[in-house]
Amino acid sequence: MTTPKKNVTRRRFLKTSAAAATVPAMFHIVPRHCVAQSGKTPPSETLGAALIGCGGRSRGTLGEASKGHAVELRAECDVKWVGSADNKKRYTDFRRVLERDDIDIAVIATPPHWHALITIAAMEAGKDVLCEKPMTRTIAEGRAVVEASNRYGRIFQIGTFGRFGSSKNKDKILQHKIMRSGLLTDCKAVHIKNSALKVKEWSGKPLLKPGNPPPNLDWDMYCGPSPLKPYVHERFGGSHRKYWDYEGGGLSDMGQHHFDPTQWEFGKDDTSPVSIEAYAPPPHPECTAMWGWVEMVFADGLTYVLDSGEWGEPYSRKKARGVSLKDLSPEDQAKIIAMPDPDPLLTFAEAVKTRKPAGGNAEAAHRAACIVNLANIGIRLGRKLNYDPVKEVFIGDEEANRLVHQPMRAPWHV
Amino acid sequence: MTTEEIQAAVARFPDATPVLSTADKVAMDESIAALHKAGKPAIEGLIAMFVDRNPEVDCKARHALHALVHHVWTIKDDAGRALLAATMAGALGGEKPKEIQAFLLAQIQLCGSKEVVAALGKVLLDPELCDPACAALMAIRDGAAAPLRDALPKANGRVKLAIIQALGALKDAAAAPALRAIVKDEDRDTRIAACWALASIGDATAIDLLTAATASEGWEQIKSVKNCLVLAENLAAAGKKSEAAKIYRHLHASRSGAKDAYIRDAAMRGLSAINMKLKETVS
Repeated sequence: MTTPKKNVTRRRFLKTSAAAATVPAMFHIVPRHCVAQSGKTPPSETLGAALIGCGGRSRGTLGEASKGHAVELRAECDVKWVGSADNKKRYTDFRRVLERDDIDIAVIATPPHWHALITIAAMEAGKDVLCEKPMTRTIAEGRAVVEASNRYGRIFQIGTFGRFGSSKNKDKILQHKIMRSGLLTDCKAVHIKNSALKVKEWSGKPLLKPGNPPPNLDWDMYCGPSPLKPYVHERFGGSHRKYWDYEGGGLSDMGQHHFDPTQWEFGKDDTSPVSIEAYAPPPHPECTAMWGWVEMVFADGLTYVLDSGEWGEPYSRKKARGVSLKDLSPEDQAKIIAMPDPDPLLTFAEAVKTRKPAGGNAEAAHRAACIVNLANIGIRLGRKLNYDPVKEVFIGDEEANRLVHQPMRAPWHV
Repeated sequence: MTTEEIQAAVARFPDATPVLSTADKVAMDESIAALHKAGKPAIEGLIAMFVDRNPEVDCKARHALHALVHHVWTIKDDAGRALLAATMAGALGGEKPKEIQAFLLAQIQLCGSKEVVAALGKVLLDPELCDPACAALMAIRDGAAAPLRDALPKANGRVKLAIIQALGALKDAAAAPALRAIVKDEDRDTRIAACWALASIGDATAIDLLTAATASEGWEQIKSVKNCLVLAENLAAAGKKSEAAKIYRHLHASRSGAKDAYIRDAAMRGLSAINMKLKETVS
């Protein structure tokens, strides 16, 4: 009897195959068949874009996706256009948009419960993606986006850009180098975010009665992978973030903005905290609500704190503290000073052109989104949680793991 | 615990005026502890307070039941968790409004285990409850595939689709024969779901079916190619490298257009990851 060979896991397989993901760039460049007129972008270098989700943030997101290269908006899609879509420029079903060969870039500004599905589907269709924050509604969905980006060699950029500023700031660069060097084994830094978390602003109103959806809205399609619930007007149109089915309150709305630069500054783009503890009242089953604070600690000791200041006693366990060369021995300080600065982060346009990862690439964006999603799981469960940032599962907590991976409603799957 | 005592415990949950900004954690925790201590009568009492689509009446009761779900996990009371799940499952399939049953299924999704699988199976064929029942079974995993397999031959339309997807999510190899039989279903979404489920399971005998499906067009072709890549990855991870290579070679040869360069690249990366070449070596 032969023993089955111990093979690579699927995730390791995807990582290995992703190593070659930058190679095929030469095959992807469209031949320059057309000669441009002086001063104009040749048609062959104009990228076709589709805007999926055309609510409040959509034009801003499209603007970000258009910076640095020539982009032509060729299709728009929104579930609220029942009766007015022509399926040529204006759609209600993103699947028909992604079928088009003349779309190179998908710009996604739907509510977050659709982010992973449409991002992955766009990559499956060969499109590069710029997706609004928060990257995904669950941790497992974020990992699936990373895997799809690796599988198809597609560019992903999250719609938060704070890290680009940090990566040009000499103090932040020094902090990044200290943290990435591996020389600081007992990190005492405490980063406290205690403003603009919008907890009450994006708390849900549980007493709203269900009604009938407006006739121009495809409510089933809007709910998509989330449970098909009776229509309540606040579940749609920006206020969706007050419901766990679609987002996670002010923390999900703002958290990725706050922690996108922080993650880069502390060199945590490839890992997550190992413990999460929240102070919050028992959560409502459907609506997001009040919470006091969340403390998250990484394996090296770095602590993140989110202190809402909007409910209960304020956080008082630790004081804010930064990282500096003084945390290291003189010998290690010299090593840091001798280290080269990190490569500049690539913008979305640069990444699309060079086929190298964007500054806010899928893995980095996923890890920033994990801060939000881990914190929200802590808030929902109200007990201390231990987390394995490699396997991306909670240790010894089955209920918490059911929030890491939340089943999708058919036919939607990633 | 009397009905009045249950109502008193529930009353300590916050008013929504209009949001839950006045939540008193100490009072809520005391109520949850009292409800937990009272056991099954308290759970049944809470469920009895639910009304159909009228949160002004039952918002606090639903909030309390949800808090109880988290509480049994927090205090690691497995017997209490099983009792809670079983009591909620006992309210399924009867006269209660479907919206209430769907709410209970969402709570079972968080706390249910093997003990409620059979009860969930009884509502799988209900078009209004199939989705939340499948979600609960996907979360439970242990023993969850059996009722799905049993229901599949009797299912139609969206119910059938949901069951296929759940079997794929559970990677239920025993369902593979039934899934192979429906990869040519007349419904596009059903075909896609069946192929995805087989890819997720890693069914080596489905290679020809899945590669043939890539001859489709549009959205179905996009998903069919993805299903092939997922199947190849799962086969490679299971040590079936030659089977995985067969899929990659097929994709590389069949996706020959300029717009499909990224698929050929993906196939090449897949081959490289398993140390195989594009051309099959004949020894």
